[in-house]
Amino acid sequence: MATASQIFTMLFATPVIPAALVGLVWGVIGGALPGLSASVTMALILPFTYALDPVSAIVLLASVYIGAEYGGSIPAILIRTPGTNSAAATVIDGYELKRQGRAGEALGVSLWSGVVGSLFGLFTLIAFTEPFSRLALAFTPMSYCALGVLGLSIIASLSGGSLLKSLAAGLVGMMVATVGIDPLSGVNRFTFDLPDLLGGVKPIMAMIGLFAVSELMRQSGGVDLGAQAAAGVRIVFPSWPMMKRLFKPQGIGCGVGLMEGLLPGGGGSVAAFFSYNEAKRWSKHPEEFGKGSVEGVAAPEAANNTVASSSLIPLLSFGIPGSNSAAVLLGGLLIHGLIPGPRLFEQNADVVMGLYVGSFIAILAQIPVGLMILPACMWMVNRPRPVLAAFVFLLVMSGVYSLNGAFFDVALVMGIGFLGWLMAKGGYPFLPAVLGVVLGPMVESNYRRSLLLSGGEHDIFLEDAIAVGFFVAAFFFLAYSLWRERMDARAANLKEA
Amino acid sequence: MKQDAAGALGLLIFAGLYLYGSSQIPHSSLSDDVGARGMPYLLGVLLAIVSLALFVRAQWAPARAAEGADEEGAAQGGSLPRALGLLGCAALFIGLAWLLGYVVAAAVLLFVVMRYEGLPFDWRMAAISVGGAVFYWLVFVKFLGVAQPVGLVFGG
Repeated sequence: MATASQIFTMLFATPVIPAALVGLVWGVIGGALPGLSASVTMALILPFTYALDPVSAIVLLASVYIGAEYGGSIPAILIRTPGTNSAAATVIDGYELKRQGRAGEALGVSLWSGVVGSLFGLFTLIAFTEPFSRLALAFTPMSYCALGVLGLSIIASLSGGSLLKSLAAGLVGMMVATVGIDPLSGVNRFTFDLPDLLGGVKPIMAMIGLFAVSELMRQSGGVDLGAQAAAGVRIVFPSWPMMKRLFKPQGIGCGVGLMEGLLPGGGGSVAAFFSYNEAKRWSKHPEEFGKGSVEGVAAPEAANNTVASSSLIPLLSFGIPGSNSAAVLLGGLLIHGLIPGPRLFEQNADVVMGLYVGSFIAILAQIPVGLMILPACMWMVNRPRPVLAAFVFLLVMSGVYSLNGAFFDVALVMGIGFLGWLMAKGGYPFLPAVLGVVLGPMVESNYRRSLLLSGGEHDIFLEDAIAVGFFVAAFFFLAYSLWRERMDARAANLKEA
Repeated sequence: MKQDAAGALGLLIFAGLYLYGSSQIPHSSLSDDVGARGMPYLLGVLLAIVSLALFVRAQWAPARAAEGADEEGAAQGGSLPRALGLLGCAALFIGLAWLLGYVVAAAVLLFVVMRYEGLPFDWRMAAISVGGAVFYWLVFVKFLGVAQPVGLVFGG
């Protein structure tokens, strides 16, 4: 009864509903624009959450994530260009359906599967997060230090590409986090006598620079896609027999999405392709896949929408974001001084409840908003790329300036964006770097606190079973990643030979 | 592979500079056993080791499929002059916003970036720039109450 009353109060006495709706609309539009991934769409709005109350800010960001996952399927179906990475698998059958004059049906299946996936993801988020976070009550400073190392190791191992490059990116991120006043001794580190650097480089700056600015630089000078989304397409919502047919691929998508969300580094795109393959394998009509199968749209859409919620489980429980978008949400939490973990559930239960309620509203609103906003999305998709680039660029400038009213921040974010551009050129992933900025202070402060407790003896880490477990797991992930890289290289060499 | 070696060398130089910077961090009497220098020193050494490993692999290891995928992804990015050009646009925005305020700087930024990204000049583009700047100003400053630069000329 108390919970029902709390939800009722939250719905009608706080701006949760407007925040969810605004976030959803922005997410769908951002996701529908090719080149703006879910994380970039979230990063663009992140500075403006600074002025909001914590509940509205987190609801807004979570709703953007939900909306962007659906929005990404719109250009994937209409112009064969995924709006987000995780919508890449939707292109295969979605565009085939469009070629057959069934674009409305494909969009309807995508929307419905997104709602099913999001609801399942939210259910798992509510069911698993608090029990998982209770584990963290037993954590000591040694455990937290080891958890930070484990988080960085998992992300470095699973973020794709070279392990060494991922490790280098993570280390650079941790180095960036050392800028500013040392919290234990009060000494300035790497501030170059600049007052603006005394507070350090905030994770939000790193996120906007790496995700948004570097993407603008990467796409600069690119050609317009030329493809134009046909006006006048209307979403055809699945009938009951169609819904029954979609049940199995959606179930597969939900299961795969849950696993990928729980495993940091997996992400929506891996889940989407994996679920597409599984749906094909278990389908009664596998021959239709690739030729315009509605199941081929349902499975990946259910999967990537499930990931949007399930990837928040490791984030809220332990503070380890499983994807770029979850990392941006973590940025939103940190802006408001909210630290993920069991204390979040005790001290800021309203924020957690707001996140659940707001996400539920955003998921339900996906259907009417999705139906109403489609013409606007198609109008946006059809704008020339230079116009979109200019407006996004101005949004970044305005957002960053608004954080502290400082031009220094704008210059700093542009510098980080250029660093991100260099990283992308060299094949260095962003997520380990962002995680380094976020987890660096946690690793350092808990490492030093542990040594203060032990009088400088490192043995204290071996006396903590949880810390030992985390270090062993970190070693396992790194060793596995190295082994996998060697196997991939050997297979490639054999293929060449 | 050449690009990987150059990147590794760049990282190695950065690690060296960072280590030098960490050696310049002053000592404090309030400091604990590890001190303010401890973690930066450890990070610098680790980055130096990782970048050396990257350099060695780029020099001697055979071409790999995974690397190929990395380079394929990297090749899709814009060129260095284009990235630097956008930095120039940002510098222009900062200068104009500091001097003339948000609306003027925003209009110029929109115009310059659209032109820079290849949109041919016409009066519609100028109108979009001015209209877009006013729209952003109305949304951020008037509607959301988010502070934006006023400009030195206008008393900011």
